[in-house]
Amino acid sequence: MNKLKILVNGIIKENPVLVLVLGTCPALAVTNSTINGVGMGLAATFVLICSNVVISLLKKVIPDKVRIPCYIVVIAGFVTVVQLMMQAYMKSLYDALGIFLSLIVVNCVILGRAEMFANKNSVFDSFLDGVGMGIGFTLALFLMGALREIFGAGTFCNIPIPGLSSQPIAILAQAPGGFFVYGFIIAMLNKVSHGKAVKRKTFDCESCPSHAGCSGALKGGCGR
Amino acid sequence: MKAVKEFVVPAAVLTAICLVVSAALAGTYQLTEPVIEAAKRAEADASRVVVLPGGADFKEVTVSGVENIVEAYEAGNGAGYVITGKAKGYGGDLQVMAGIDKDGKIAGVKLMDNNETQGIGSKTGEDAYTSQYKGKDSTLEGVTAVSGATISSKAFQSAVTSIFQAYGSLAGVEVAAPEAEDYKTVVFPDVTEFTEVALDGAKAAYKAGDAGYVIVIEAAGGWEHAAGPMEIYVGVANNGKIAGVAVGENHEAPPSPETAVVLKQDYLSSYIGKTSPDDVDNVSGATQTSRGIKKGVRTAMELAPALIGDTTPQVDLTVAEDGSASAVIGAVRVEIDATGKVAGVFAADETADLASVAPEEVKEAMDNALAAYNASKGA
Amino acid sequence: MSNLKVIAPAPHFRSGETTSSIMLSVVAALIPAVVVSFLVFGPRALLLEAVCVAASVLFEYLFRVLMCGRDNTIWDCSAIVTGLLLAFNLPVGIPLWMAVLGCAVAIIVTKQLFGGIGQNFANPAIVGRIFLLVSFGGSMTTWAAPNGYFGVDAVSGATPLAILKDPELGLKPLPDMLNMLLGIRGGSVGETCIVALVIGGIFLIWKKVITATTPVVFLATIVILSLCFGLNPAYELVAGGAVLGAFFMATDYATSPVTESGKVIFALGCGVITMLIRAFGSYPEGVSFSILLMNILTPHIDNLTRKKPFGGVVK
Repeated sequence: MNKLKILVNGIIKENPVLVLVLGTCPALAVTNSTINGVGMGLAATFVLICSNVVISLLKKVIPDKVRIPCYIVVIAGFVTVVQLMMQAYMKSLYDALGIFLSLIVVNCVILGRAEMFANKNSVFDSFLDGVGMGIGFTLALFLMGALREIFGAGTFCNIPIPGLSSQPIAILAQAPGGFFVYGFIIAMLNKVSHGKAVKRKTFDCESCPSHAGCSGALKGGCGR
Repeated sequence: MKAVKEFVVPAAVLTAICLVVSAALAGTYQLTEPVIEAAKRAEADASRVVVLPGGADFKEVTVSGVENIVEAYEAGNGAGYVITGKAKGYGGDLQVMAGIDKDGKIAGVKLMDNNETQGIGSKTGEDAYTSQYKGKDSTLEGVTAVSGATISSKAFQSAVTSIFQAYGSLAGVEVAAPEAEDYKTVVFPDVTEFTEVALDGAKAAYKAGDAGYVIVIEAAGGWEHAAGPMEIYVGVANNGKIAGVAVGENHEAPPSPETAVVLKQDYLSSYIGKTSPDDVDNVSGATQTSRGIKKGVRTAMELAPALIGDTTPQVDLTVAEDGSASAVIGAVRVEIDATGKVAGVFAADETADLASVAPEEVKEAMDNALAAYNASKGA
Repeated sequence: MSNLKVIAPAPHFRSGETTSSIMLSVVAALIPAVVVSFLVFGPRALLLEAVCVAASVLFEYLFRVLMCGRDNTIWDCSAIVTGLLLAFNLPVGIPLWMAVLGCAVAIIVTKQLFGGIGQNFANPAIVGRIFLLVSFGGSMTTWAAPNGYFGVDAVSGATPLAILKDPELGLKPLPDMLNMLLGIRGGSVGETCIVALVIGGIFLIWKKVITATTPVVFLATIVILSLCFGLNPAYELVAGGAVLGAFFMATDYATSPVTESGKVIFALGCGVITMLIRAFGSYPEGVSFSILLMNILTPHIDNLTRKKPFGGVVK
């Protein structure tokens, strides 16, 4: 695949949060403020790039049976490294992200890309994929965080916006509002890309994480 | 051999990966641990220096025999002590860190861990409140609570008192305790002697010298979310009128600073001279607390006759043959003409001046005189 | 869709009812309440209602024609009903832009995004109201206290249900039953006059637009449960949005069950949840939440109460 295409893939066409609908937990949980959203995005991107590279390096070594535990150990290792580094050098962001930093381990984007891409492609391609997906993830979180913070709290990066900060639409800063904004952004994206973003041709049954319990597998695909 | 490939190799690979990752983590931990530890210590030290400026080289010490102490540090350079005490606030325990200098005075206080309500109890953490502690000694004289956050403020004070006790134990000095607030004197400021009397239906009652009685009512029904009842102190003068009202223990902490107003004498003094809470306005924004106080006052006034006797004013009415009348009520003499209207008001005592009588008393005397006059006419 | 011919098997009866005629009947049934809202709350109430109706119709037109290029459905008058019902759920003093926002949520999000009339997952007016309640709690709970027809006290006062919830406010007299029935009490624009609402409800039942099942069971459940919880049943019945909800919002075709037994379960659930929230929850009023929750359960209720078609096989 064209290297540039791999990179750009993760930003629009296969944006992990908005198209593949992976990593929704942090997307909903930390996007009540822009800074938290971007911070989470960058931390996850770092882990994603590192884990993609390492898993791609080890793809011939790891036997198929134990691949999931191996991936998790590698990912968890990187997340812990990021955690310790943040705690030492970026304490305020560490405090802001709190428990969601540790939850990057089970962020579906990272495990999903390991499964879907890194274990089948070269190291450099995996690196680019990690970068692209990470940028897409961060952009999506920035967008959600910005919308929710501007309209739900009337501030942007904690700077109050005149006119909006007196009567913000409080529901957007809470859980239901997170879902509203998320759905709205996905709808807008679909409209802008005329539905092209929704097609997922690169799925194949064997590498799908829900292969074991999927009824579509018997019929030869999930028909998306 | 196939078994080896199927079971042993995967396990071996997984183990190898785990070992490598663990090694990497151990390495990172070694690298970052000193930084994290130093940052933690610096943060803690920095916060200690905030409450004890000039302190350095803090060492932890143990305090024995004093309750509610979380931790205590002695400044190595002799500047004093930094002690953290706790007390039960509105939302659970709150912790206060205080720096006591070598003269036994507070160098600074800081609100630490707490669950107090945002914007209300949390105000005890703000400079406006904490700065008043600077320079105070263990009696905490002159410390005022945050308006609308009585419980949090009381808890803060209590924590500081515990801190002083710990200081006393560590430094080996005597510490004086803060004076407990006596609401009876708020109600009857000139009375020095209060003797307890029994009164059914009241939480407590005291004879206030010769001036009257203090009735203490436990009134439920203030703020709807209050964790407990209010203690209302009602001073009843011997003439059956309210001498003063004070609010003691209470759990009023609604989301409005108007509660401070309704608990203070500026507002409560509007009860003085009345016989019932009917004419007293509620404080807008603290309606529920105002109502609770009224309920307490009403109950107290209903119980008051048991102590002071019947205080319906005695009207000494003399009706003349032409239909006019003269009535003496207390210190006022009211002349009523034949048409039933007030002809004149004078002091009952010929030598006294009417101006010496309180206007409310004059008006009441007029009302009572007219009522008695009409009653005597069978009207 | 409108160019296709419809082929149906016999019998070929036409009742002459169309969506718009049903919706206009509902609007007619709401007219008494509109009149009372003017008498009790003044011209601002009419302004609020007009703005909500206009905004709802406008949003429906804009969305269907401009955004999606689909056919224009404003002539089925359902947007008018939604706008009016949403206005009835708002306090008279609410800033108009908030009401317009609520209409947008009701029409665009709840109705059109899910496929238009008949496809909404919950009553649009209810969703709009709850959105506004959570977003703008302060403005949504500032009630004007009327003191008779043609007199509105601009002083904010508590609604009767709020008074009931706070035992100390009991020193302030609850409006007496006559005032409650005639609508001289605090509350949102359309929920206060019981008499007007009942007239409208009976009109709808007479015109066979709704059946009496849902309102009767809903209100009966409220009465019975208020007795169980030790509250005043007559008061609980006329206070708050119970009557408005029972006659006009719990009976929305798309979001309530089809069969009579389904409607009974639905109304029962509404009544139970309303009383639980009123008695034990921290909100003084529970009708909107209960209707929303039961709306969401409606497909399951329909599944459970599906009637066996004559000669059909039971699965």
